Amino acid sequence: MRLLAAELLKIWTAPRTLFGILLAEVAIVLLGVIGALHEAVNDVRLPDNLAQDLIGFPGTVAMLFAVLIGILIATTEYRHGTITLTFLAAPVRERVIGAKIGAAVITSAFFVLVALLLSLGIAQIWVGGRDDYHFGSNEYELIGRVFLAAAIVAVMGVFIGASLKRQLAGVILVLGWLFFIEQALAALLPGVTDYLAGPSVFGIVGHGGGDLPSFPHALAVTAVYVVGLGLVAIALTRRRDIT
Amino acid sequence: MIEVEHLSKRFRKVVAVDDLSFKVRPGAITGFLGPNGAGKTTTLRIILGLVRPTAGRATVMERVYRQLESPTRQVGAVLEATDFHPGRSGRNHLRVLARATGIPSSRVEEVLEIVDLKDAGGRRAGGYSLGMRQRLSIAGALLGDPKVLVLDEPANGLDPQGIRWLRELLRSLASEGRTIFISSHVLAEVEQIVDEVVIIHRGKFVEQATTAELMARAAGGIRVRSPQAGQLRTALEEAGVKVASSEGDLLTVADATTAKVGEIAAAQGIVLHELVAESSSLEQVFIDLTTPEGEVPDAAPGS
Repeated sequence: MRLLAAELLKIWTAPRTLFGILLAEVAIVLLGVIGALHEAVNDVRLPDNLAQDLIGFPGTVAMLFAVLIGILIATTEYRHGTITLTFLAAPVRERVIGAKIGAAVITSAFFVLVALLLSLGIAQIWVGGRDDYHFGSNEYELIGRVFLAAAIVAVMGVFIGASLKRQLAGVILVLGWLFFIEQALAALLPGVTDYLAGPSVFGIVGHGGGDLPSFPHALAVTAVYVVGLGLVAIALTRRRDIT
Repeated sequence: MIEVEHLSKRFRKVVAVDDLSFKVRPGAITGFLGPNGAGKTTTLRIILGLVRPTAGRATVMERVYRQLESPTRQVGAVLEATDFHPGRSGRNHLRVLARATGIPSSRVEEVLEIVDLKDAGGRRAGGYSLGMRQRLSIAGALLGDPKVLVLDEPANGLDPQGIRWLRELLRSLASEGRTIFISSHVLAEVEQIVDEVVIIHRGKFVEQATTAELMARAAGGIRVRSPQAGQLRTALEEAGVKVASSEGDLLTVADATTAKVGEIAAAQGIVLHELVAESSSLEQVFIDLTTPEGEVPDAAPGS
């Protein structure tokens, strides 16, 4: 718990980068939600799945930022050299990774919360009084799944960052993997789609269209990715010389 | 207290530390000396569990660092003076370290006071001068009130006033019974405060000695010049004084004082033109120890 508290204090006392990311998230969510609501209210009747879209879109944005948060939390200390002091205080390095995971999960949950409050708050003001705006148990379940998926990708981000040490390399790897390698694999080998990281994470959310894997399948596949990335991150971090 | 046994570290093709063994006495200030690139920093980082040795082991209080309970309460370390988040204040930097090790926040104010950074504690570390960063590093090392301090070139970048401050601080910490292991490539920086030195060169052990032993080694012979050099040589040898070398009117005498040589010459009515006690400095001894025969010294330590 001490290490987790120290990780959260690190974020709190040097928040500039994460604050910038939060502003970017707010801007994207605002634009997307206002655009979606503006289009929806022009119809005679609101789309049945409007509330789900107003959770799914900001949730997806927050998930992308969650992986970035994980990478940042794991790599910032290497960038500034403070990892030396962290490992002096906690020479069992797995514990440091554990604390960073905790901090990344808490921070990403905060990012999801901000995105959802913004989206659903605007919707409540704009269309909340209408009879055709539905918000019920399905939406609450979707919110829960978004939080879960964001936590998982934040953990993946920490493992990727801890393995690579470099922020830019981590971000490029994630974007390249999601938008190029997985797309190419899905096109060339359609059978592997259900076993790729991106579709599996979206399978946990269960929103976003297309043929998404089922929740249990997606959770199992994602767990394999998390365990695999975790083993690599721990092995590399333990062996790494801090020179 | 600190024990290094047959320690080796290879970075790909480069051997940074080569079968190094030494012990640091508890309660003493020990200098860890060697020219730049001698392997000092690598050795210190192995002691602190930051670098994995290729062979051998290093222990602090009979345990490898990783196995120490609350390590920062037992060992304080000053490594790079740049290990700070530039956007975090000095005070918050210390608060983070304190939080990680369960040290109360009140201790942060105490160590800021010790290193004279209380007023600057609220400023971002990125705006600190090198001297202030060194002070902040030292504050971090003192946070856990450790019995052992490991300092890697702490005087680097300090102005003469800063070096004097550092010496006084280390003296005061040593007087409290702490073990201090301080590395430097400049003997002059540490010779006034260390009790003992460990000298390494190119990753290998060269010498471990007390400063008194080194001082004794630094003492040279006596140079005496006389127009009656042959007569003087005979007189000295008859008196049991060894003449190390003789060249024309110049003799070099070992194991004697200038007074004794002068008295022997006077007793024999020998005229002297010069009588000088020669001594090499500790710095010269250090250079001699770290420069293999036939090689030019790597640098000019102390310059």
